[in-house]
Amino acid sequence: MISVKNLYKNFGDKDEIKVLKGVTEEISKGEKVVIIGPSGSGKSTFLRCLNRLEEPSAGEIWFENEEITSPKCNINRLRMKMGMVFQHFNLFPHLSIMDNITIGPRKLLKKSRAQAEEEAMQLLKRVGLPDKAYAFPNQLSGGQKQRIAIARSLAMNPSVMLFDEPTSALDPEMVGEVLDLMKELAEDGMTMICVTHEMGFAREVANRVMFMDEGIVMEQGTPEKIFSCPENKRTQDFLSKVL
Amino acid sequence: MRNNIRAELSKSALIKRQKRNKRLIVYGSLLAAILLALVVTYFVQSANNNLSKVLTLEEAQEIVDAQLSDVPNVGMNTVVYGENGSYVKVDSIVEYGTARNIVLDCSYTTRDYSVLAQSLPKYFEQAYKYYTDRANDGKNTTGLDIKLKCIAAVKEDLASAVIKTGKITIEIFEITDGEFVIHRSDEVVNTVFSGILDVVDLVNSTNSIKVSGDEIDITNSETLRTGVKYCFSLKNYDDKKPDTAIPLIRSWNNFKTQFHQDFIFKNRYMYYVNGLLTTLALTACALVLGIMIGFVVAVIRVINQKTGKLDIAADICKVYLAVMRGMPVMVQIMIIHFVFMAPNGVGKFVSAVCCFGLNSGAYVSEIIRGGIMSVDEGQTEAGRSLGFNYPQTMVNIIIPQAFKAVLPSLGNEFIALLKETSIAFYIGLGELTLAGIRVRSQTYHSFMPLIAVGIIYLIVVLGLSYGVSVLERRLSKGDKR
Repeated sequence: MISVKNLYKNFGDKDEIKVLKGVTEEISKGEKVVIIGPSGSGKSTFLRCLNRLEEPSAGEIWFENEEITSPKCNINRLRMKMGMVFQHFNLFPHLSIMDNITIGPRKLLKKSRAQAEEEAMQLLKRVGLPDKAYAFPNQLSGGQKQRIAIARSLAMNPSVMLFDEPTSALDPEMVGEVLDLMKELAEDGMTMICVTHEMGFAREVANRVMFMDEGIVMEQGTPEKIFSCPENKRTQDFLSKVL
Repeated sequence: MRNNIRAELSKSALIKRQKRNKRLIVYGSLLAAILLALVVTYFVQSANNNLSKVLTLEEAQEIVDAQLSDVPNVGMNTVVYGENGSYVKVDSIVEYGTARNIVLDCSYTTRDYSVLAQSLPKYFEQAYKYYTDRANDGKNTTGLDIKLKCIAAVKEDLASAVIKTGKITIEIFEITDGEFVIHRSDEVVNTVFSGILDVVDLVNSTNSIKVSGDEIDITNSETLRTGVKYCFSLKNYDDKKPDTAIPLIRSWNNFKTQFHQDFIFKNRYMYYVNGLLTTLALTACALVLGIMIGFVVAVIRVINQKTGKLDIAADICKVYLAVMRGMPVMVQIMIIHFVFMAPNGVGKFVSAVCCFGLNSGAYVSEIIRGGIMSVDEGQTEAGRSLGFNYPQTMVNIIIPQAFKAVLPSLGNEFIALLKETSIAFYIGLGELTLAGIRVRSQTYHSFMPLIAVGIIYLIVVLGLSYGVSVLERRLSKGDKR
């Protein structure tokens, strides 16, 4: 479904900061990939390159047999199929929850307001916040905001969901509600790529855990393998600190 | 516990009430002080309203002589005040009034000027012949020429006039401390210069004369009448008694008169109404233009700043900003109107809208650019990640938030613009400031027209500030927590 070939990303005026140093990966449909790793290891950058929020410096990314990285590609059309959830939610504060969810379907998928709102209501029920439909983002708690952000992405009916540390900005007691929702999503068969520090979630949900450091994938495998008998020295170090 | 709370509450209510009372006392005493000051002024001035000094007979005589010798015209007058003409002698000072006036008993000597009335046809005939002779020679004739021609005959007639004597009372008023005037009424002038006003009236109403037996219509020959009148003309005098009312009342009367002249007479209030409407229309049009320009410029500059595209457009914008912000608006409006618009037949209003629109566009663009930059980068990312392209993200997500953020600044810009439009009077656009200036040039009053214009601006600006704050409150509903 997504294949990444030799992905490089440099930052800075003279490309002096090398964040990704050749990542080659294959992610198939229905897979739940969790990316872990220390800060600055390039995991968020990798995720953001997948829908070109960051422009890759070199390498190719293919999504559903289209090359995302080619200049001819209509990235906006592809982004509709790749939902993204951010660490800081990034809800639109000037719009009500209902409008936050329906703005994409209405303006991009050209759905009627009535249809979009009906589907939004179903999504709101699914994320457990139907009573907040006409509230504004700033009236919600962090966990509620993140659930709405997930609903907003789902409203576009994506074939893959990218999660960029979705629980890092939350109070500990609100992490659970978001993770529960993500687990439900996983059980429904959604393809998910998730950058997170929640090792419990990784162990429970992931098909594959990827450990990234210094801009490359150091080690990957099933959660059982990574968490119980990691082979790489860096993976062992990292896991011993966080577990 | 509950009692404690209640006690606390009543305590805070008490403090509030005490504060309010204190304020009322302060305002009340201020008001009372102002009223007291007015009343004191009133009484002090009333007390001062008596004559500043006691006049002697000689002084009274001097005043009468000075003011009556002023009545006949200066120059070669036929009618004179003094030894050889009419004269008034002050016999006694009858009464010192309480309102700064004195009554004098006087005796007068005068010639019976009504003799002139009988000779009027003769003067007119002489004047007419002189006038037509000169006209036949192709020369113009003025009133003064006629006077020079006829004065000898008038003097001759007067020499044979009967000399009359009699008694008259004359009033003297003290206008300001030590400055006296006499009341030169019809009665005084007609007595002292016996019958002269009747003669003048007769001249004024003469519409036909007889010349060698022919009736000639002189309805339109103002020069003839003026010329004849010049032979015994009088200086203007007023029939109104001098205004010796106490100053406070005099000010109030002035105030009423000025108000009438500045606002009501000849429907002058329409100047202000039309001026205000023009100002508002000008401001609204210029603001719409300014916001449109501002948005375009701001978006171009933001795109350039973030992506490096559109660099030629961005350079043009920079030049535009430099030009618009680097010149006084007054120079700009004159350049736009007199250099570009007026020669092509474009009206003042359009010129003014263009000028203020372009000018405020420069300032609005910087405001909006700041607003766009102030929206969190995550908002763009969220919009883009949903599949919106850059323009769609701008329109649907960034600009609504930026607009809300800059609304107070835009409101202030609107208010500043409204005040700035007063410069449009320079190209003769009839807006509010010009209304004040026009009325001022007609009435020569500065106080009321200019203060009125200032107050109208103030009211409109306060209203707009209130409107902006209401709009801001309404737009901020998403910020409630």
